[in-house]
This record gives sequence, structure tokens and C-alpha cells, in this order.
Amino acid sequence: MSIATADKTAPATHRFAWLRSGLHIIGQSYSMMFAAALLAAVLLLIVLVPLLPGYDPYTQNLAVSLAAPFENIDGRTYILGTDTLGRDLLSRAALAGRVSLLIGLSAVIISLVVGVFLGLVAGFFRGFVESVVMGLADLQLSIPRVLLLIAVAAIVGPSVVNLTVLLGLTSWVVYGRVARAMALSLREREFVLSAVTQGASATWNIRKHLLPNVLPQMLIVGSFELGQIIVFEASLSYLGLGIQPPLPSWGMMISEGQQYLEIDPWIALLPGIAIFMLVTGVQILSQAFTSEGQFDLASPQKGT
Amino acid sequence: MLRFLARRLTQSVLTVFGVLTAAFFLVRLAGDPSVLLLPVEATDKDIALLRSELGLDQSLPVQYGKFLLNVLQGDLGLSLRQRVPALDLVLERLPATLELALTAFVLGLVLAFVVGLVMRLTPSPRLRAAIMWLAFIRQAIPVFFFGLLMILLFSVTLGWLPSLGRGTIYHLILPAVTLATYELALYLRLFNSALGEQQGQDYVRTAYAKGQTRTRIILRHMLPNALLPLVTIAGINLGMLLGSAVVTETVFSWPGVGRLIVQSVSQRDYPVVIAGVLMMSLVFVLINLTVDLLYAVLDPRVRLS
Amino acid sequence: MTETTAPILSVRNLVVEAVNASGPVRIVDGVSFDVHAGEVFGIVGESGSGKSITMLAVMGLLSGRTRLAGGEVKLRGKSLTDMSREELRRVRGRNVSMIFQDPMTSLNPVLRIGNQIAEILEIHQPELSRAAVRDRVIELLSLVGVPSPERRYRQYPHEFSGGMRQRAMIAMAIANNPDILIADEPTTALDVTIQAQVMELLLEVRTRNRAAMILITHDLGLVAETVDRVAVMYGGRLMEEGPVEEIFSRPAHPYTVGLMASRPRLDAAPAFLYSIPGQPPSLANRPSGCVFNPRCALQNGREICTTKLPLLDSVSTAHSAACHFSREIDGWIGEVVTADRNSMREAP
Repeated sequence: MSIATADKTAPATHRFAWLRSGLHIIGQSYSMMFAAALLAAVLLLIVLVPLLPGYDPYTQNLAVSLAAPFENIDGRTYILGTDTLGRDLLSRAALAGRVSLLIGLSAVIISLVVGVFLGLVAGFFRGFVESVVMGLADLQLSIPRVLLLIAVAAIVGPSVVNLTVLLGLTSWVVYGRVARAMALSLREREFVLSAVTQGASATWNIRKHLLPNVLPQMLIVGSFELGQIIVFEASLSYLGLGIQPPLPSWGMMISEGQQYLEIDPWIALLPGIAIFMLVTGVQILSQAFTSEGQFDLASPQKGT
Repeated sequence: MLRFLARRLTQSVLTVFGVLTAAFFLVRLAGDPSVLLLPVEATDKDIALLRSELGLDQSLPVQYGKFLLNVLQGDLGLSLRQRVPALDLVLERLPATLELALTAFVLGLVLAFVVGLVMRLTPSPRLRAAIMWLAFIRQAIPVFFFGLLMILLFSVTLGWLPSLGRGTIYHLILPAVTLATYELALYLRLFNSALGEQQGQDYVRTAYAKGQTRTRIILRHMLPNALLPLVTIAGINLGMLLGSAVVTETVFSWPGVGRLIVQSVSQRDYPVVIAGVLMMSLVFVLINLTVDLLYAVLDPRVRLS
Repeated sequence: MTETTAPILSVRNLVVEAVNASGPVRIVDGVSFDVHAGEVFGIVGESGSGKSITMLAVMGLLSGRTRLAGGEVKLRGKSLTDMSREELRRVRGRNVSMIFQDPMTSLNPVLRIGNQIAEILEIHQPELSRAAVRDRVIELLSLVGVPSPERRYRQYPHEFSGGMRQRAMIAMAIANNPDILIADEPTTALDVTIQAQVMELLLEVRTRNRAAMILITHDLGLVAETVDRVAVMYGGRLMEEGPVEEIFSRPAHPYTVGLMASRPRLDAAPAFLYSIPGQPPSLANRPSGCVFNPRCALQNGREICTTKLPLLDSVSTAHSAACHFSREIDGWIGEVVTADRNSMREAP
């Protein structure tokens, strides 16, 4: 993975240099600008639509069920059409986007915190702790992630909170591995060694010396992971194991829409397009911040 | 070679053991199964009786030991719904899953191989960029949505292929393509860079010095060397493929283990869920082992050392 | 004498450029020489002097960031440099074949040795049957001294020792009875103990096939023993060229003199080893005038050496050197030996 091979020893003084160079790269490349446009469009939809009056995602109206996009019924235009219960798809897609993004961001934060903690501890203390953490990581990788999510979701029961925590806890391995690798190289560096010889505690060292050096890299990994987590969430919701009705989700909307594929394919297509735009936008943009700083077409492994 | 084999086998056994352990604790985490099994009006005495029957009154290590022993004997418990051994239900569905996953795995490699070669042999940089973009876009679409697009195009609109179920080879096409194309972008990039690396090798220069043509040098000399990383990555990504297979099975109503798991989840039939996940993990481990052996076959240096 | 016959290979004003970030750099600059039928022609020089690149250019095998920027190569009077890719491909491996320095990496690790040798026959003699190809490969393997060739045929390169691999490379090179064998440091990567065997084999198969050979090496001892004529390269240019006895007995270029003096000798002053002062030139920033001038003891501050490029000029009938003052060499050699006693360093 390109992110993992990034410069692990960037001096702390240039901590935010990657941000500047990343923004510079976005401004220079057409594909990056395209990605930014995709992302902006989805974000606008997610943020603005629920604020509009009359766009309620829950209001049912069987009289207008399965309206086509831009169909005008009784003086009202349903921009993206309606579902079987006559609910406005635009409002539902927007709310589903909010939920997706919220779950995605929270899960990324959870996995980042867990992964960085375990990785740094493993890399700093080595020995037994390291074996345990890395063994755990290997074990988790030996079960296909979707299966693990399904199994655990089945047992703890689906809810937004459970889903978020679950997605977070099953995604820490990437951060853990990168953080450990960085900690391994950092602990041999002079500033850590000198702190150790001066009697600084392990907590102090990890917090003051390792964490600030590791964090920017982790945020880059996180920005890439966000897209994957959103796809995982959508997949689970599609299977009926993620977000539960009445809360809308893109995955569930697609699953509902699949039944009406022959009558009204838009019900399934629109949320799918929304996922595609969001995920593509996030992932292409995250490439701008990798150390190579170039748009890497074939991104590393992703969700389902 | 024998030592390599022994090491890989040990690793596989350890993995399976780890998965079993995780499964055991997951089930315990799920709460007391006796509550689920008995009607609401059951008395405390009924519960206590069932608990001792199920061995739940014993200490955790004892339960764990019994669980492992049972698993070794192929006993993964009864399906709460159908009252038949959970393993039987899973085994019944396994051929369908293997058919789909292995077809997709091989198809994915063949596609990467053919398309990768076209990319390497074509003189047109535009064609190369177009292929890469298509593969990238494919990868950015979640499996279930891509499956739906395929159904929409080839079943609903064109009416060429069946969209649901298993039976003829035509039923296999859509799910297999959906699954196979997913990692194509990654494979292509890998394959391409592996071929690019071979380009500068001394043996390639030797082949040119022999008067061999460029096409044949790529096909005969560089290709076998470039295949190794492709096979390795494909093996590593098998977990991804099996995971995606679960979703794909649901999209296409493919009667495999994945669909069984998903259905059992909604029916709260935990023993079947656990049995299914265990079986899929086992398949994953076994295929990984096979890929390693395949690697050894492709590379005589590994095979004979 | 071979001088009367037309040369088999004739190289004229060969220029090879490497394309760098800062623009093209000449790494072979105006090299000309002839190779005649049946002779062994040596090219000596330090690493980086352009001797291997020259040979790759002759074979049309320049790749990556190097390109042929001028000059002509003729094989039996036909210009290789004017040929299409396809025509040139047909020449490679049939009329000219090459043996590379490192037999460890020059063979494809995933193909059987036998198939790799068979390939060169299949390319250039497609009319041969499978059985005939196989028989010929086994014959070639036993010819180059690979024991039990039937078994070895089926083995992979990593099952061969370095010496055996180089024998396999030699078998490959002589498979189509080429007019010229180009051997680029064929024994450098091998164990010292088998270098002599492999070299002997190479010379023997060459003689048997009546092929001419170009031997690229930095080993002057090897040159003295095996070569008929020799060219000395430095900084991408030819410094001196002529019959080997004459170059050794009457060198006409100060670089050649330095090269000879810097080889360990058994007959004199074993404790001391001469080294030419200074570093090989940077090709991107080559000195004006004679490339060797910054390191030349003969220059003595004379201006022409830094302003005018010396061209190859005959010293005797078959011997030429690219030095403005090659006539002064004779007197100067005695001087250099005494005067440089001080600058000599102890041999390791």
C-alpha cells in the first residue's frame, strides 16, 4: 500500500507540509479537480437538502409512489422521484448521506485511535506486547472482513451505534501496522533516545514524541479508509444488517430499489451513484496527500 | 520445499485455531442461548435444566475445551430454526459458493492477465489510459451496486442473461463477472509494474541478443516472471473476494454459504451463522495454502529449494 | 596477416548518447575499429570507459536512456545501422552473438537451460525439427563441457554453478555458428579458479567455429595471452589501437603506459603498484581537448592538450594512437618509472 511506504521519518517541523503539497497537487491535476467536484456535489446535497422546507424523508404519500425523476405530481416536482411509499428520494438520499458520513467519520476516528494506540505501544515496548498485538492483527486479517462484520453484527444486533463501533474496531489493523512500523524507526532516533536517557516515562515519550510524528500519516490513511468504511456500511445495510428502518441508508435504498428494477430503476440507481461519487471523490483526493503525491489509479484493497 | 510446506501448514492450523477461539467467544458474547431456545413462559427450573444439558453451567475453560472437541468431530451445533446440524446446512451450500468464488478468482486472474498483456503490447497510450480508467471506475463501485447495474443492463434491458439463482452456466456469468472485475484495477497495476520491472533484467537483454522478437520476449520470458507477484496478491486478496462473494450471492440470489449466513442472521440462527463463517474462513485458509503451492510451482527456485 | 582481407566488422565514428535530466551526454564518442575474420580483438579500459556500451550499440541493443547518435556499423559490408529493427533482429544471435558478464542474471530463472539454448536455434533455424533442435542442444552442451547434458538439459539456471551457466551461455552463443562472438567480461563474475577454464573453452570453441571474437576486459594479462589486436578505451574514446605485442612493447599513449604500469607484475617491484593519479572523467562534464589531459603526466602544461582533440594517428603500419605527443613516449617511459617512484603507493 502506497500510504504505508510513505516517509516515516518526516521531521516534526514540517508536520503540515503534506497538507500544503496535497492542496497544491489538487489544484494541478484535472482528475483531482474532478474528484473535488464530485465530493462537493454530494456534500452540498447532504448538507442543504434537509434544510429545505417540504423535503421530509419520512412523509409517506402513496398517491405519488414510484414517481420518476423530475415528475411533477399535483404541482410538486420530485427531483429524484419517490419510492414505493411515495417518500421523496432526494430527501431520503440526503439524510442517508448524512448518516453514512457520520458513521464513516466516527468509525474512522475509533479505528484510528485504537490502531494508533495499539501500534505505538507495540512498536515502543516490543516484546510480548508486540507479539500479542500483531498476532491479533494477523488473526483478524485471516477472516474476511465482511464475514467478521456480519458475524458480529448478527450477535450484537444492528444499530447505528453498534455499527459504528463495529466498523471502527474491525478497521484498526492498517493504522496499527503503519504506526508500529513508524514507532519502530522513531524509537531509535536521537530525540527519543535522549528523552529516555533523561528518564522520561514511556507515556511521555509516546505522547510527546511518537504521536505527533505519526499523526499526519495516520490522517492520510484515515482519509483513504473513510471511503472504504462507507462502502462497508452500505454493503451491510444492503444486506439488512446495517442501518435499520425507518432511518434511510444508501445500501438499504438500493436493496429496496432492486425489487423495482424493471419498473423504476432510478430508486436503486440514484443512491448507488451517490455512493460512487462520495467514495470516488474521497479516495482520489486522499491520494493527493500520499507521499508520492500523485494520483494512484489502482487504489489498494477496498471494501465490498 | 518440505520445510516451506510444513511452515505454511502450521500457520494455517494456527489461523483456524484462532478463528475457532474467536467464534467461541463471539457466541458467548451473544448471551445465553438457553433464553433464545426456550419459550418465554419457561421456569427457572427449565432454564437450569437446559443450561446443564448444554454444559453452560460449567467453567469457561471446560466449555471452550468441549467446543473445540465438538468442532473437531464436525459438530457445530443444531440450527435453531431447522433443528438439523448447522454444518450440514452449510456443507449443502458450499459447492455453490466454491463454484462462484473459484470461477471469479480464476476469471479475475485471466482478465488481469489478458488485459494487462494488451496494455503492455499496445502501442497506443490512449488505449492504455482508457483501460486503467475503466478498471479504476469499476473498483470505485461497490460490489452490490455493480451487480445491480449488471442485472439492469444484461437482464432487464437487454434480456440476455438470467439475473437470479443458480443452474446453467448463464446464471454464473453475471455474479462471476461482478466479483472478478472488482480487483482488476489493482491486479492490472501490479501486473504492469511487474512486467515493467522485468524489462530491465539481464535475461531480457540476453533474449534480445538472441534475436528474439519483442512480443515473444514479453510472452515467453517476462510473463512467467511477472506472474509471481500477481498470484501472490490475488491470494492475499482472496479474503476480499470471499467477503464480496457473500454480498454478491445476496444480489444474485445465489444459493451459497454467504446467502445462508445473511438469511440466518435475520432469523437469529446463530449456530448456522457461526458454522458458515467458520467454513468460509476455512475455505479462505485452504485457498491461500493452494495459492502458496501454486507460487512454488510457478517459481522453480522456490519449488526446488 | 589479416590486414589484406576486408574486415568482418567495421565500426566507424560510433557515437552513443545517454539522455539525462540535463540533456544528452556522449558516453561513446567517435569510436572506430575493424575486426577481421578469425582474429581476437580486445577492448580494454576501466569500467565506465564505454567499452560495453560500444558493443551493445554494435548489436543494436541500446535501451532505456541510451541511443545511437551517429556513426556506422558494417557487418560483412552490410550496414547494421541502416537496417530495420526486423532485419537487425535476424542478424542478432545468428551472425553476431554476445556473451554477457554475469551468467547469474543473464539466464531466465524460470526457463529450463535446454529450452533457453534451443530458443536461439528455433528463432534462426525454424526449419529444424524439435528432435533435431534437442539433439543439437545436447551436442552443444557436451561441446562446452557440461557433464551429463541430457540431465542438465532439463535443469533450471539456479541448479547450475556460475561456471556451468557461463558454459551454457557460450553454448547459446555458438549455436548458430556466428561470424563474430562478442564476449563482455565473460569471466569476471566467475570464481578465480574456473576463470581460466571458461576462457580456454571460449577460445577453443571460437577456433573450432572459425569465428572472430571481440573480448571486452579490463584484465591486461588476459589481453596479452589471448588477443591478436587490442584497442584501449578511455572516457568513451579510443586512445590507442594496434597489434597486441606492439602495444605491450611500445605503447604510444600515456594512458596505456599508465595502465600497463598499474598492473601487478610478478617480475618487478612486487611491493609497489602504480596508480594513475586522479579520477576517470565525468562524461557530463568532459575536459576540453584530450579527455585524458587532467591525469596525464606527459602533458606538462602544454596548451594543445587542453584545446585540441587528438585524433587516432598511425604510429606504425598497424598501430595508431590518439595523443599529440606519442613520439615523445619512448623517452618518457624511462622517466616515468623513476620519477613516479615517489607517487607509487604500496600494494595492498
